[in-house]
Amino acid sequence: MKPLSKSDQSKLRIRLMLGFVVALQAGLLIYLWNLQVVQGHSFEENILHQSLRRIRHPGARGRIYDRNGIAIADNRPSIDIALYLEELRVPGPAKRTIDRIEALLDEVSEQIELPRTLTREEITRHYRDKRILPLVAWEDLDETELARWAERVGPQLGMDVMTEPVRTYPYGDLLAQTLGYVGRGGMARSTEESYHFYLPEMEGKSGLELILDETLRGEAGGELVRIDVSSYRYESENKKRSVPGQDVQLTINAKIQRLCERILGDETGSMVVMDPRNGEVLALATSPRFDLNDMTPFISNTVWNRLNQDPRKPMLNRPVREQYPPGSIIKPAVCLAALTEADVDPETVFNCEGVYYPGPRANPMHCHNRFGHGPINMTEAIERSCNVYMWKLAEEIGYDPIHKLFSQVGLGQKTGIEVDFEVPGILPTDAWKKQHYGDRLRKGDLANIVIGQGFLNVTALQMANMTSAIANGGTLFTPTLLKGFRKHEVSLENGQSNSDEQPFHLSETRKDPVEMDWDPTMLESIRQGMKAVVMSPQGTARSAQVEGLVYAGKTGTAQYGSPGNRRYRSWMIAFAPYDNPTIAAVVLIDSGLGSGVDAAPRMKLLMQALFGRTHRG
Amino acid sequence: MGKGLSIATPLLRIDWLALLTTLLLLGTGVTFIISAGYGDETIPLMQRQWFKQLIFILVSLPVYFSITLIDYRWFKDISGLVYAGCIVLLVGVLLIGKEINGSKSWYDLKIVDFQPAEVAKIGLVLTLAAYLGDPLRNTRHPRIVLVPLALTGLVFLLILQQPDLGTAMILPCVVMALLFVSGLPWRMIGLLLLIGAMSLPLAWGVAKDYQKERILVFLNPDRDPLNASWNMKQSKMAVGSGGLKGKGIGQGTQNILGFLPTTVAPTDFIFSVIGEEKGFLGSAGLLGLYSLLFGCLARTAVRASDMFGRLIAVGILTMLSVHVTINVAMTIGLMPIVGLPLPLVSYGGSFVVSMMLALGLVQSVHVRRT
Repeated sequence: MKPLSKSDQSKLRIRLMLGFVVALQAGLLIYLWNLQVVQGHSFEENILHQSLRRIRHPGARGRIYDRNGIAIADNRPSIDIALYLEELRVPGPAKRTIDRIEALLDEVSEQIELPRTLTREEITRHYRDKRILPLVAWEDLDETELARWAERVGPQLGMDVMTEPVRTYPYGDLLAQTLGYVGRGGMARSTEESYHFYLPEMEGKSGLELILDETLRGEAGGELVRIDVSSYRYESENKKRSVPGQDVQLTINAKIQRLCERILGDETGSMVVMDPRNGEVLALATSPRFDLNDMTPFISNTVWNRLNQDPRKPMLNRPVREQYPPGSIIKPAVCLAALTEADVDPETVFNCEGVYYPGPRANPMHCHNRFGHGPINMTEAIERSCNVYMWKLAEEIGYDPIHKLFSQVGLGQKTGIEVDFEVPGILPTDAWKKQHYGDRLRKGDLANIVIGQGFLNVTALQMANMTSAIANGGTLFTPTLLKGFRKHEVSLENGQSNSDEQPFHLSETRKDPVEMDWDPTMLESIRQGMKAVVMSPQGTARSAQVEGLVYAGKTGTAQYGSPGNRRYRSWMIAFAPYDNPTIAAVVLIDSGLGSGVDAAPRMKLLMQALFGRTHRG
Repeated sequence: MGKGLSIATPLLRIDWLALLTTLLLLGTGVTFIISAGYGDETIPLMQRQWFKQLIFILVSLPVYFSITLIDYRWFKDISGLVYAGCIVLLVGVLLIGKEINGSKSWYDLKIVDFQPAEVAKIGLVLTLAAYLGDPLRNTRHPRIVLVPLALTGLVFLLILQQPDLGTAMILPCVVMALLFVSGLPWRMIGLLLLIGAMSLPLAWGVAKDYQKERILVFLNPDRDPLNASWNMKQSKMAVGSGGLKGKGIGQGTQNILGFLPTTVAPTDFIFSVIGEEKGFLGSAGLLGLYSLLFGCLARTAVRASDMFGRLIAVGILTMLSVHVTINVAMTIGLMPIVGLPLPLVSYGGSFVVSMMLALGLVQSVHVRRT
């Protein structure tokens, strides 16, 4: 009896269930009756006279300022004519919609007297891949074009003007390689980011624009508006505010940066200016350069080919990306190693006969002065850049203390500055030479290293940082370009940011400096030598003297290339003023064949501009 | 089957009305997939969705009839195996599945993508029906709920992991319906519903961000005006503008399918095309067809020769009706957009095939009725 009743009960319950399910459908039908029949007319009416348009509000990208508040990467509005494909859709095959769009574009093109820019393929592609985004038909209209549009065409269903922010670099090639540029945002990384609506319109492609992209990029917002047949927005349905990106303030001083770039002129080379008190980079100049405005919103093939085929590599950020033998500018560091790591007395005198034999059967090596400097002490050796002194010193102390000090001041390592590509240089060791040449370091190698030739390779920025540590008494900073950040509290629309007066928050990402533990009296004898390089009548950089300024420096020349194809790189490092230095600088000229170009006069120009009588300070 | 029946005999006993309704729904689907603009001549014929749908229907028909021919009682013996197979497929898809729109729900079978959750739903119905349909079990005792809930819970959690919120939501409804029909006391039913309602906050805790987002957008459309609330408003407007008779097939001006982000599976909104182009009469006709099909399934359940067959029919009925109700409700703005397609009508290969498999299973019960 039990199974039977169970069966009957379940039959009853099945009928109950079916009743419930059908009742649900009936409920839906009642709702649909109300929606389609009772209110249907008003919906139909609405559709004839209005449309629901999705307006995207771009999130303005943060601007980049120099340390004095000069905007070096900015936004400007571009006024475009955009099509809203949803509103232009024709029932039936896609072909009809695309035909309609083409016809509309042709008509408008005639009215506004601008050639049509979009091909059928581009329209089809946009229709297929991102049809819900506005399709930009004409970009960056000027006033005349805009007036023609307003007068003869005007906003209508499916077409309106739209303002988009465009990145602009007011100073063109200033700091170009470090600053980097932006390009059109790519496609969504995943389809989850539904149709790219809120994706930033611009994304960093290189340099600081790329490294700081997360900080700089804004978050787009949007709005759902009801528009009538003349594109008039009479009702905003929903709105999501856009969030502008953060502004960034750099340590760069745009005036000094521009000065350095002018000083480099047409030469190939680098200049670095740092504040030895905090590691802030005031200028990071390289030559040749390129105009950042040519790179955005996209790089044309012509520009790309020109930049890539140029043998002087204008895209290269030389002070961090190129490594060279330092030449004689390394000598102060060699001497410092002898004093601090090998307990050599600064008064140690060696006799320079103008020639030196690294080994019993080795070829002789010469000093600049073939007749010899005679007996000289360390300060004089730096002042006159004596090679023989360095060789004899190295013979006495060996490579270990030198390697240790070089490593301490950061040679062979990336400095960690905020650039997208930095090279570490080469600090040779036995292991390094074994790997590359299958041999350990020999006496001849050491002799080359201590005069800054041979295997030792450094970047201009490393030399600036080393100079800065000598200037400030032995504190090695991580060179930095970032001074502060500023969040926008107000919503910015259409790329027009209202410059607000909020202060920048100091960058908190700075690394603690490393203290070198150099004996001040030992360091002073090195500094004295470097002062004599500029200030003494025998100094190698006496041509760089600036009236009224006492400063210190060191020159150097590195040869490279085969004997028949010899090229020179001319270096100068300097810090100024001698007491309480506020500037550490490097000039590096990468001269071509033959004539050597001197770095010292260029250092003089820099110092003159920064500290000269005509300049306040 | 060894009872001397020729192959033709069971086929003659099939539920003709159910078959007819099924074919009508499939035909409606293809018609409106074409109308929705997927007849785009910008893509080759082989890639057009209506054409692919037609191919899937042709593939699914032999599946439908083969399942009809197989005696459903055979599945009772292997239900444990079926369940284990489903679990393996669901775990596997989490490990080696292909991610589409942020959900790891698909196996890439080169020619087609296969969604194991579709099969798992049917597998779960079979397993639960086998357990609850066992005549030796006292299905009125409260303790009976434990095993079915555990079996369902595991599948539920695995599908939620993908995450596929829509499909997962079907399962609690199925288990409740089966417990109900197998005679669970009313107060136990009430208690289970209460527990279910109370566990919603818990479910919120484990939901993925984008799923929360969809629900929040429903409750507060300002959160993402450009997508979700556009979809909702536009879809509602399209259905509303259909009026009594609609604008005619292929004439819908608000037809939005092509403009929906893929995350909400464009074909989930096929009802809005039908509503706009065929009006209230079309909507009513479609819901009428579904109700007819539900009636057929219920009739099979009532006439089934044993409890196992009865519960299979009830399970499939539940699955189908939840799909239809939720899909229509979300299209007209009554529910959040959870991404459940309209059975037999929406585009989707493995969905069509699995639905036909499920309906074939009910036909198998039908032809062996008493």
